[in-house]
Amino acid sequence: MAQGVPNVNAHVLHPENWVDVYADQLYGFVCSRVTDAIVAEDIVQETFLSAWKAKDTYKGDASEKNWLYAICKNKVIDYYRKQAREVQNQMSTLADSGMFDAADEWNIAARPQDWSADKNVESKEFYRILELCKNRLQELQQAVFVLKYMDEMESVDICKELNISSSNYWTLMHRAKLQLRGCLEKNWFNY
Amino acid sequence: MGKLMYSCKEATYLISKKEEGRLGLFQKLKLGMHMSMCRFCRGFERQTRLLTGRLNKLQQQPKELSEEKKKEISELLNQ
Repeated sequence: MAQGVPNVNAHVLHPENWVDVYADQLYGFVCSRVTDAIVAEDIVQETFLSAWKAKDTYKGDASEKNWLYAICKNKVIDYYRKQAREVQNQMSTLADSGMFDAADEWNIAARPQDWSADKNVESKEFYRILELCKNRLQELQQAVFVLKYMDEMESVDICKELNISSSNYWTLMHRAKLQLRGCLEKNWFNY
Repeated sequence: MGKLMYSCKEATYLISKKEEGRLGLFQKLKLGMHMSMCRFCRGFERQTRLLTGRLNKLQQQPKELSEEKKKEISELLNQ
């Protein structure tokens, strides 16, 4: 659409319906990104409050739903960033304990086994265990996972958003993967 | 010059970087050499790819925000 021409198809906001229409959806969205339910509730609340304050700047380019989701996503990243600030100093204590021996080769118990093909990795139960294992990760490890594999961001952008160094990023990613696959192997593939 | 072979710890660390095309030629060759000889690290790569590829299915969960919280938010918005 040409600039300056009033957009007759512009979306409009209906703040009076927000809670009824979007509260559960947004809460479900946040719960897939944050482990603590109380934190998730607060993020939903902050989303609505920020949206309310910003409603006069809404131009109607994005649908109401997409606009609220964008605000919500930013709230989640704000939360991650706060976590990153706190954890930054303890990076070295987040050990990949027990996975590798003194020569940095796999410890026998931690060696990846061949996952049997008869375990259905599309079943509901599989996803339940995957979620459980994801939630066991330390919050910042989850953060890089979510941004990389759910939101499909590039590592450079994730580092910028969370204000972490790239070496911290790769370390978080490495440990998150080690733990996630170890957890699945134990709890789903039962080795 | 570093040692000729990567350890398993180094190899599994570099796999994520490789995924994003962030390895130099020499690193890529060294990693390839390790991977061709180590079935555990190959397993690690296969398995983590399987898992991370399924993470986005956890994206949107059917959840309900508590009625109390909804009421609280509604009240805040109507002030």
